[in-house]
Amino acid sequence: MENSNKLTTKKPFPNFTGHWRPFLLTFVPLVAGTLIYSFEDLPLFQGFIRNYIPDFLWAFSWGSCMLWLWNGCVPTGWWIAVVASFTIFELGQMKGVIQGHGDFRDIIIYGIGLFFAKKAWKINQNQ
Amino acid sequence: MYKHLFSGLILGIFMFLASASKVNNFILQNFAHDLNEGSTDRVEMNDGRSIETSNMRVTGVANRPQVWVDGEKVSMKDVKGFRKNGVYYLQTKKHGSVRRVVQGTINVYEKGYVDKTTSTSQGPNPMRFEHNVEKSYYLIERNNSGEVEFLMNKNDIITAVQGCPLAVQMVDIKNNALAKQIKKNKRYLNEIFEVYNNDCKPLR
Repeated sequence: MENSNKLTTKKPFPNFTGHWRPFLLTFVPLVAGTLIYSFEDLPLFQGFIRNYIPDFLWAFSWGSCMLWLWNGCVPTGWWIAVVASFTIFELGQMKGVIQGHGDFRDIIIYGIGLFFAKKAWKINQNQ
Repeated sequence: MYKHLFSGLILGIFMFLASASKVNNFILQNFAHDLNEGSTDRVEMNDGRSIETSNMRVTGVANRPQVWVDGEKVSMKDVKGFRKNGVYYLQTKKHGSVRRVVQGTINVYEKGYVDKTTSTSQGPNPMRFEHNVEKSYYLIERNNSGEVEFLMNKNDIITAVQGCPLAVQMVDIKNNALAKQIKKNKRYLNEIFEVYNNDCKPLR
């Protein structure tokens, strides 16, 4: 009896049951951001949409992916690693070490993206 | 343990995606600053006169520079442009003084500016921080007309060099391919205009 219980409750990682929402939260923003970049010449995707929305979606997707992997309990160390990575990335661009142009506003947008990813995860868990 | 490994992998993937998308912002700060226009300092006036001097001084801020020749102030409204230490600056009404980075039938100018952003720290006593980020934008001028127009993206470059298939061919490629070319050759954007200015012949 004990053995059969174990068999029914244990779900190995690739089991996709219950993963479709986190999957959508991770990949839909990523695809949407990529589409904005791919069609950046369209008048619709100019200004704020072109400059900040893909960054927001990228951070949102990253945050969702981490929350998905850690089932909502991402160790603080990994959050620090995520924030440090994009901050170093932007600072590197400002200093000319990395291609592109750095912008402090991007860092704030990434932060907002992570914040909303956490909010979305909470809503997802409550449903 | 595997979660830590996956977290590291995800970090790598997302940083790769970020760098792949950021290189598409190729237009900013990617023109090389190696145009040497000669050692003699010179002031070009709107009436066509040109004053060559070994005693030139430029004061003031970049937007409103003041040129002094042999200790005498030159009226800036009469100045078309000036050359100082091998760098030529065009005087424009709208953009102030802009630095030339490509010279020829089409001149390309760079305008540097400081973008001020503010952020507020969190906590019981929030503090406001101001950050200054140096940025640039580019302008083109045809036939030394003095009239400049914005050069904002790949399409603007294609429009500017229209009529020279070789130059168009250099720029009318996918953004990622263009970014790779610029990464390989820091003068790539300069060379697109130099080919155009070279009667559409290859540079070497």
